[in-house]
Amino acid sequence: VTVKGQRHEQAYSFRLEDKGAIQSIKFNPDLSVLAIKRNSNSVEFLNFPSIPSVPTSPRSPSSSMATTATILQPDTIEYSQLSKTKASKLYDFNWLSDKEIVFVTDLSLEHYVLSAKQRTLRQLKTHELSNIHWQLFSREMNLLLISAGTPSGNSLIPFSFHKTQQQQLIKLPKFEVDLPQVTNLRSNSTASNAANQSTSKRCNELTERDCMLANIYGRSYLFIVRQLFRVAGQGSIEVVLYQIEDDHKPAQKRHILRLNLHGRCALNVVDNLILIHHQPTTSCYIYDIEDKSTSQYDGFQTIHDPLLSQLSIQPVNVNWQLLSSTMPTAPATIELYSSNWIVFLPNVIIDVKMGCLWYLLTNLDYLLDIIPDRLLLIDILLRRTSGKASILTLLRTLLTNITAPVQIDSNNVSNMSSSHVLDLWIEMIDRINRVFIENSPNRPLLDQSDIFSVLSLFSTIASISATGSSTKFHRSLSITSNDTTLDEHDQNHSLKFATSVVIEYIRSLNDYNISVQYFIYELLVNLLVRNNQFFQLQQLIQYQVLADSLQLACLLLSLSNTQQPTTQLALDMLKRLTNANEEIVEILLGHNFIIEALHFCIGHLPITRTLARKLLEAAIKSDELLSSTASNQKILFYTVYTFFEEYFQRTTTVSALAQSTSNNEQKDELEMFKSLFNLHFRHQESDVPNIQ
Amino acid sequence: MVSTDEHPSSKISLVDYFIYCPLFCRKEGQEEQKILYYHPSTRELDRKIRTIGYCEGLVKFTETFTCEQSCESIHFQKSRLLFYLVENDIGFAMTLHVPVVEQKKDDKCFLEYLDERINDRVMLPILKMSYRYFALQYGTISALIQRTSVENARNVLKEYFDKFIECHLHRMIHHATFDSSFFGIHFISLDKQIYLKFQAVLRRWELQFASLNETVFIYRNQLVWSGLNQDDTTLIYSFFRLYYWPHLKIMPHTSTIQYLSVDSCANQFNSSTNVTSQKFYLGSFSFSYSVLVLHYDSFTSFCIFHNDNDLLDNEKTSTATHLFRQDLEIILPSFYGYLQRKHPIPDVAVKNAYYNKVNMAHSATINWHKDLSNPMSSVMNTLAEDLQWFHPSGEIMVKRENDPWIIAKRSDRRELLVMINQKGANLKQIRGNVKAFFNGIFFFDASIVDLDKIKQILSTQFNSILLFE
Repeated sequence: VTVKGQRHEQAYSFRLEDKGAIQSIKFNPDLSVLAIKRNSNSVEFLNFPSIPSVPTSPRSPSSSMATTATILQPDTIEYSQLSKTKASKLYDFNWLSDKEIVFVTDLSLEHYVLSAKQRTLRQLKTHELSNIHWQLFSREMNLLLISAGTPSGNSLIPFSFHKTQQQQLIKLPKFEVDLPQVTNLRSNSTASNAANQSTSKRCNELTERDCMLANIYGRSYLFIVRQLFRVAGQGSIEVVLYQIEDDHKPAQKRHILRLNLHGRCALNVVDNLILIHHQPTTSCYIYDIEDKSTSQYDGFQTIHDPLLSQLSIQPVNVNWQLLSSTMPTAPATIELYSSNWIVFLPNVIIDVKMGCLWYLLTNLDYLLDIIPDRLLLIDILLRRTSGKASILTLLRTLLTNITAPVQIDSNNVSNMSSSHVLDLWIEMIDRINRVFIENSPNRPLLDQSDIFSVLSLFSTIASISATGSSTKFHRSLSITSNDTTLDEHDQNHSLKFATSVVIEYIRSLNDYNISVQYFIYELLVNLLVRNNQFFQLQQLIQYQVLADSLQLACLLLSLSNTQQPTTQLALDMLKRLTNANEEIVEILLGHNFIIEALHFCIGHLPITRTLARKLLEAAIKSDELLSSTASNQKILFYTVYTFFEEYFQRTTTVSALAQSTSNNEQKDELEMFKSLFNLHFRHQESDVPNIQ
Repeated sequence: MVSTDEHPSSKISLVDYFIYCPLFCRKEGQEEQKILYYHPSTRELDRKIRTIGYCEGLVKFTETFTCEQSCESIHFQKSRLLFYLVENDIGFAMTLHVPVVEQKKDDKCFLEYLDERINDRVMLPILKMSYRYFALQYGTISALIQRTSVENARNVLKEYFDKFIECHLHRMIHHATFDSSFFGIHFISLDKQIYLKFQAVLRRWELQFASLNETVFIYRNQLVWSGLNQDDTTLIYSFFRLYYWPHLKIMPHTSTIQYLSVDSCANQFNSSTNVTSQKFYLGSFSFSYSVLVLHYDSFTSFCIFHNDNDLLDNEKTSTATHLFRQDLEIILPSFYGYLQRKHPIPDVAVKNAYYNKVNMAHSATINWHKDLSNPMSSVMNTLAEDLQWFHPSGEIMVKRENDPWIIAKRSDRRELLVMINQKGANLKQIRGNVKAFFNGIFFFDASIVDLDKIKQILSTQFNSILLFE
């Protein structure tokens, strides 16, 4: 018997000796032990050498084979474990972890620890239960669900276990699933035909086939599919969700998914979306239990209508993306929703006939086209793990509606007004930031650089407007300025829109107390500056909409020119930062404000000889500039020098002894200035008696 | 040369106001053509022509000696002549009467003219502003002449300025102070969150209309937001202060929509939404805009449209306005909550006037008509004028016998006058005050200075701007 295993990307194959029909076969999670059930009261185990981790593994010789399927060599010795309660019938077994296994018999649960080296199993605990019908197991949810007791099978006992904290199987409170249609059907079935009676029989008991376990939004749910027949030949499907809680309360009925169709159907859960595959109509119905717009709460449970109806699985996607790697040549035509399909939760579809196994994925970008309500759409996308890219696309198309309206006309939302788009933007960005702040798992977190990638499309319109205004200049010389002013107004409008969008983003970030990163500010400043809105920039800084930062101050400095003095803004900002005093001095010196710089130094900086040297150099330079226009006799140099001379004379008496050695070196720095000073001013010493 | 016929008074008053354009006099004997407007019109023609000729000659004469600034004022013993050239060759000029006091010397009565009472820096902006108000409503004079005729332009000017001088100019001259000369802007003091909310409301409103260029949004008399450039903002803002604020002050809780128009000011609050719009000229005065004014609960917004297309649809306008109002109502509670937050009580001993040329921000706690005696205010005016000589910074401190200390300070483009009413304070103490006083930004409607703890408080107050010492 050749068996192919498919796990993750890698496929493994190995051979087993034929020892009778295999009823059930399961690997433990790390693929080191294979459990095989061939009869109704024992399980055989087979050890495997440790599986190499998929990409590279020097230890395993088998990985050198470049085939997709790795050949595994099983241990030759099998060992088995019999069920303790001899009389019972072994239904199935489940691996709780690499070393733990649970047997489910019709009378008990048997919990074993396996020791692969010694090839023995040690029993941990046995839960005696009467009348077990069937079991459901989900390792992802740490849950084992047992149907036991009442003959209809609707009495369910969940067991939870810990993946990390081992050797515990906790019994959770049992609960009963109601079968409301039973009585209803009985009264009906008295008059109905035999076929209907057979279905009513099936409805009378809860079978394993109608139940599924899945995790949605971090909560464990039991899904129960029900076919409802009100009139013969018509009916509807209902999926009831029971939430299984950890805190020792019985499971509660929380959600009901309604579908007004009848016939075979199957369930998948992908990315917290519930997909009902309806076989007769070969289409999918998608439900999102957190969506408010398609649901109503009746006080006890929430009833949902499909969020999206009659969608089909994309065949192309089946071919190229969902196809398992073990199928080398996939036929071009795959019968979708064929009767050969077996569907496993969460997202596995197996076609028995073709031997294909698929993982079902959602193509979120497609949603952008089929959900016209943008706000609903962003809510849906914000609940999807992989929604980020689609959200960015959504935002981008939304904004290009206004900034470049020509580009999109196939879209049904192309003629939206800018005010409407802004409203949408405000809502969306608030929701995005809320999700970002809540930071819950499996939600797309869009940080500022993500949004910036969208917002950066504004830089293109800004540059367009720059060229636009220059052409306008040429045109207005020759042609009447009528249409150019119109152009200008259009430009003005889209730039206004752009600034609004950025400001709203900043507002939203502020509302959620997220500190805004510099590149967002930079974008806004550039938008305003290109639009020649210096006064508006001033107002925004004045109200601290743009928070102070060294980078922003530098940007403002670089923008400063004679018409638009942003230097004042920059200097104020540096002062508020309180740790940028040296930059302030540099700027003041750069503007030849020597005396002001000196005053500032006295108040805010420790006076050192290096500082003195810097100021003196600047003073000399500035004196040279002045001397061309006025009869300046190195007045700045004189002032600065005398200040420092006096200052150092005062302070050296105190500190000179302490650091005399280093002082000598530093003194040399000022030596040059001293001689310069002497050259110019010493002979006037009589005028300035206070200098030595 | 300009003598006054009126009884000499101790107050500054307007003698005449005229507009002329030398280009219209092609030949000798046609000098009358130069006159575009003359107030008072009763003055004999000969004198009008002589006055204008004098101005013209003076401007031409001084132009040859100075390369940068043309002559703006002439000080006579009995009068002051101020002029302002616009649109290359049109001159605006006004003559002011210099106040007099009667003095007795050797038993003889004579009049002493107090030249220092008139300050050019204070009066010139009034003359300039009077032109800009006109241009706001009619565009440039040269464009007006081109569009129609000289004769028509004369009529328009006469109609406008007769009214303007009667209603406003006299009062402006009379109340002119160093403070009013800035035509500065009072910015509202808000925190970031509320400010951003206002932004959201305004921007939602603006994007409703394709032809809406910019909005100027004012709360009471404080500017919240202006999308216009600085010059236009100043113009619209002072226009608002001149024509609207006196009415709004009295009845603050009204809400109307209307097009901006000066004539309807008297009874504007009775008029319903009217449909004719008046053209206004902004920027280079070459393009006209329709201006819609909204009043709502102490808020005034001027919405500048570049055409009427959006406004013709009355229904759309009113739904948009309705939305705007709803948006505003949402944020009003937090806004008023913010305003009611307790501000420290201003110290009565310290008063100030602050002006920043960069953003036209202006605030003052000095009440020029209450706090200051006449000589004090002229000292302040002189100090303010002297500040212009400092570059980039400087400081003067003055104290007269029993008056408070006055400190005038300039720091690059900021100007500050502080008046400290502290008995027996010496120069050193006062200097300490001022140093610390300069720590905040223009939001110092709550400026407090306790003289004893002056350093400590001031260092916390003005710490957000850099002032040169």
